[in-house]
Amino acid sequence: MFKMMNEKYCLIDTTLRDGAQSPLIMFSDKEKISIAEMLDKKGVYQIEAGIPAVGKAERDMIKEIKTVCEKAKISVWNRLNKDDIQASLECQADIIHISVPVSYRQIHDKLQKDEIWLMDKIEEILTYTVLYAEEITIGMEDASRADVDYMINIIKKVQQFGVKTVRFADTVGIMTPIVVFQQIKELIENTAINIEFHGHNDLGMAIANSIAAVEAGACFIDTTVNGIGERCGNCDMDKFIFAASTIFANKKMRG
Amino acid sequence: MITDVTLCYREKAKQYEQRQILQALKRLPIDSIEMSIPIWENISWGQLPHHRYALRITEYKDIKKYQGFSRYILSDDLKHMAGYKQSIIFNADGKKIQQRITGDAGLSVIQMQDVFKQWHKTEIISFEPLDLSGQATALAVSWLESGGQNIVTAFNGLGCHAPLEEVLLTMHLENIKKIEGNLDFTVLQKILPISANKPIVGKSIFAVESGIHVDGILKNPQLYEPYPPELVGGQRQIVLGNISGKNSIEAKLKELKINYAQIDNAAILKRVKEKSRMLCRAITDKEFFDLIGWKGNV
Repeated sequence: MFKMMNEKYCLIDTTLRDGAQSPLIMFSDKEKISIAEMLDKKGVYQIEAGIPAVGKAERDMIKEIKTVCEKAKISVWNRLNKDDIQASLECQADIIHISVPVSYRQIHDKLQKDEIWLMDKIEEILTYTVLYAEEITIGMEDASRADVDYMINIIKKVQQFGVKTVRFADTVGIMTPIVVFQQIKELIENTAINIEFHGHNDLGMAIANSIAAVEAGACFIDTTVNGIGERCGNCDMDKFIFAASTIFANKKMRG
Repeated sequence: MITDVTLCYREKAKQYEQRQILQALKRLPIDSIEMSIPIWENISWGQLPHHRYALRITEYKDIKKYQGFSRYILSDDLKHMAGYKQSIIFNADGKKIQQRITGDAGLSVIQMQDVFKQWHKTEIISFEPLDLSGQATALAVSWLESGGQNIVTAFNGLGCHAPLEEVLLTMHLENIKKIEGNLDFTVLQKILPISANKPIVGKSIFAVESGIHVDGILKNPQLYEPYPPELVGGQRQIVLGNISGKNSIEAKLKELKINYAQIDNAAILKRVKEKSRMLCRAITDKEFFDLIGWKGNV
């Protein structure tokens, strides 16, 4: 008989970061503030507000979002490099999120590096970032196509720097719920890390996969308003809340 | 076995559209096309070939009245099992051959594994998951992965069903049933309203604006594409806007076949971002031509 692995989970909204990467949508500054205020009022635990490295206008907007949100934690997205982190520190966000490509394809074809280089780079960037950041989370980009043992090594590495939460990103939206459940369960059992699940909807499974992630013990689920996002979008916040409230009638969801 | 019920939900469409849908479905790897009696009466043009067509009937005697179908589905409104509605499937001789289970019991895919085990112990079941909790595709595929043989879908999720296109692609990627050649959804995409970001068939799902993603796709399209666009008749498209990068400019110039040796990509990128922020949207190719001062044909 199935037993749910955790009793509480929180929503992280990435409408203003991943949602805004949809080529179909571009928010005005006024709209961004309104969305952030709405999410804050709804009680969303964390708002991923943007990518500071994009430019000054983005950084100014993130600072403003930080001032209008009373409860939600504000996080900012970074690549694994010092310039991005410095741009983020200027925004005084609550959480510095650093994306680390973890699949063979991403490491070798995109970064054009290898696994040893990546581990060294993680150490270099985290050594620097921990000096200034209040909280750091790590995003395992393309986790769905990565080797689970390698991800366990990455998690153990970042835990040495006090990282408590790691994002499991189904970057190209190809996972199915049973695989999500098995892999997240395995990562948690081997590292006791907090998992944040980030689903994409390329096969129409973002909601089912996010539900499976919660069942496997994920503490955080990434969503966007109306499911907007790259390609077919992300996990739709309202649809996820509806599904979760039906399926986990007795479980607790924050935000 | 995939049974598609798209036609059942187009009873009010014009006759030629219904026929177009039928022809389009016949070109897809579907095992059975199901229709309702009003649809059949509207588009019938002779005897249907065996094995491919199923008819939704309202009473048992309809089997004799509407001969030529390989299967007949009779809904039993009074029969329910664990939150699911039940129907009986008969063969052309009127013999019961399967049971269909329809609905969404509000259980997750993981929770459903125990239910599937029970279903496997009974008779042959055709599963028609509905999308009330946004899990229909996952439930359909999961049933097949558990050893189930029969599922029911509808194109674009019509009638709150598991979308046919999502099920076909997942079956392909999960090696349950590989797609031979490409899938042709063109006619269905023209006839039925589809949102731009609808998985598999939305017109903008292969458009990419983010500089990071464009950079990745230029190095290897598989980095940010779950399957090749050509597989579903799609096309990759680079869109320029506020989150573009220098590589996006270079890629766009290449796409538009413009000699870019003399163009300062950084300066152009700055202007693209300014223009995009001003318009509050991505910029069109025509606007890009204007920005770089290109006087050629658009």
